[in-house]
Amino acid sequence: MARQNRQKKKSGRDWKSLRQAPTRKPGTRIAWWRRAKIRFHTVALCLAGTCGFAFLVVAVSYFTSNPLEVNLAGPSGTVDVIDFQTNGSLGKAWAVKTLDIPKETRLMDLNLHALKKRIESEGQVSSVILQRRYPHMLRIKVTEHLPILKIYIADPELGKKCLLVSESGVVFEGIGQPEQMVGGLPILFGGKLLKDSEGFLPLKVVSKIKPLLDAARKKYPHIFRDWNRIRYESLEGQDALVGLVRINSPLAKEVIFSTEMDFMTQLERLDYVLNYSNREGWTPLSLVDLPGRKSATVRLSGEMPRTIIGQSQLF
Amino acid sequence: MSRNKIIGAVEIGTSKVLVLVAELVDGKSLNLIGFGRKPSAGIKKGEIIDFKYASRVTHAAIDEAEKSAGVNIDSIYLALSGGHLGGSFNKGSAQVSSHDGRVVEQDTLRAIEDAKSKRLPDKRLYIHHIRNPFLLDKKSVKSPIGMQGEMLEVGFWSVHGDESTIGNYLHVVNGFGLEVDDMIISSICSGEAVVFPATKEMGALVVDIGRGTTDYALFRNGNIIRTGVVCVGGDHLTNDLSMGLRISPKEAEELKKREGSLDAEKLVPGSKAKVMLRGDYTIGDREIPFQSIYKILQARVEELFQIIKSDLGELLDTDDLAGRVVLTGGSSQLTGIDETAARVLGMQVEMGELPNWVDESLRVPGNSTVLGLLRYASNHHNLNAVTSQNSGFLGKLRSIFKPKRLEVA
Repeated sequence: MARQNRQKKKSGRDWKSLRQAPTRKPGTRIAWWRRAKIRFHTVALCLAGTCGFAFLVVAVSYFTSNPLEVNLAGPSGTVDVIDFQTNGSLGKAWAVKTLDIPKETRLMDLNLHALKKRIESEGQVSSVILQRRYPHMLRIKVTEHLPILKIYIADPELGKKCLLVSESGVVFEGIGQPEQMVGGLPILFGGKLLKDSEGFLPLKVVSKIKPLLDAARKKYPHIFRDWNRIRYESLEGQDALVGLVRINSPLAKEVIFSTEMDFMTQLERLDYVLNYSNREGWTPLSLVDLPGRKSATVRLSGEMPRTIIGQSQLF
Repeated sequence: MSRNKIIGAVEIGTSKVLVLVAELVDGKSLNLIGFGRKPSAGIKKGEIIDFKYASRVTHAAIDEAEKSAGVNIDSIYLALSGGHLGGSFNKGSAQVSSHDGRVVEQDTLRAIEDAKSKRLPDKRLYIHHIRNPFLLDKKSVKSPIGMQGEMLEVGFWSVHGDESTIGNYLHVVNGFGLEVDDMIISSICSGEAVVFPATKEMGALVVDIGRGTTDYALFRNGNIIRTGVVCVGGDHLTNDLSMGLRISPKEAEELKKREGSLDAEKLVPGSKAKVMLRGDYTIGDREIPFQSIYKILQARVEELFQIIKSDLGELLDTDDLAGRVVLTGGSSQLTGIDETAARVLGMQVEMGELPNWVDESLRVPGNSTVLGLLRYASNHHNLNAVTSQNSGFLGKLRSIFKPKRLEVA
């Protein structure tokens, strides 16, 4: 290297010793445009690369956490196994009976659409997914309506019957539901139960009392547990927003809630009234009328109504 | 891994700026993909006299070439001409140092070092060192290593130019955002384009007559032994006609292209043959004696070849030079110029033909410099690729296991 340097020094300068500065200010407008174009392309390329990389990261993380279920078609045999999965009380026996698949039917020959319709015709079923698992298995994944209320009907066709009501108002028979659970459900009164060719229509009234039931179940389960009858009374016709909810329980023969007032406030009042009444030995109460402006009205059994003033002027 | 490099060959001439874009595939094959041409401005006799105009036309030509190629150029090879170029023949010698009298690599390096040790005046820069064959005890040898002898000599034809002129050319290209990879003098480029290797072996004088300058290169035994630039070109012929016939330079240029000829057969002694100045018989068009045109052009062209002959002196000894003169460049298209050259130089003359790999539309004498430049660039790139293999860790590792390669010149 030293020899090369010495040789270069001795032999004089060549043109390559001149400093070139191609990144300096462009000499003409054409050069300026060219540089701007190159920079724009570079930035666009970087952005596209970054977006692509980000998409890749998101896609990889998504598919890692939600792996794709790949169904590979293989040899198709007879349906020997039914894999039944549900979130409710329906059982595999019910599914086998409902589907009624003839013996020796090949998995590939199943009409999944028809089978799906058959299962969904049962009111208790919210949705169903049917999958072929080659070579012999039919997988059924059912999502059921879960009951929150029950109703008693006297139908000319069905006779006297107890039906269950889901939180979306769907009325169904309640196949396989444990008796103890059904017995603990409050009975719903009021509201009009309509029927068409496919069965009962959803009860609209449920949507009005559902917030009360949710709040009571979540915040005051000890109170909710005792509710055995719930009645909704519309004040201005069937579809009006404002109505009263009348509830019967062992501690208070009748508790009145109003949909016009916040249910949580009314539940707080009820909790206070019941606690107070228990301490005073007044239970069971005859009536608790909760939606007063600043107070709740309580009527003791066989006495005149009286007003209870809360400690924190809550009422 | 394959790597395609986009190279641009740029000639900034007195009459035009030419740019060729080529794709070098894997350092082996060359694909011509773009072409740009703009009339020149700000250049006179191969030197930049108006930087702004020169930049504008050069950038416009490069831009046009890039657009026609559809890609951006990676590096530029620049052809250089002009009266500022000069050359000197530098000789170096070394005594053969080994005890058995055989030449080793160190001896060649010492001879080269001695030849290149000549310093240049201030403000001059070397452009090329063109090596001539080694002489071992006064006998020409191609590769002296391993041969027996006492004195090893080597000569270099070193081309140098003015620092500020070269700097101006570099800055014009740098202003476009590109770097000049290499700079080659025009005569060497033209030689690459129009002279076959076999002709170079026989000996040939390539004369590229441009608009502002005439570049020449003398080949002997396949080596370039002399190059030069004469500041006489097509512009001088135009100027002479303009002055001699008292017509405008524009009319003179058109007349030269239309009627200009050095064909002696056209000239009968005492002939009163006349040609029209413009040829359109409009007001101002008039008759001009052909003899006048002939004499004016003949005088200037003879002078041009006389200068070249004088510059080359004994080197043009026809006994040593069995080859021929090859004419190229835009102004070489003047009818009968080959006969004048043959008469003055005393050698056989032929018009340079561009290689077949060039598209028909580009195969004109005015493009020989830029085409030769591209050819030089592709060969030069290969050499660079070989030397760059030895750089870096892997390159050094590779070089340990490979026999060393002698690089001279």
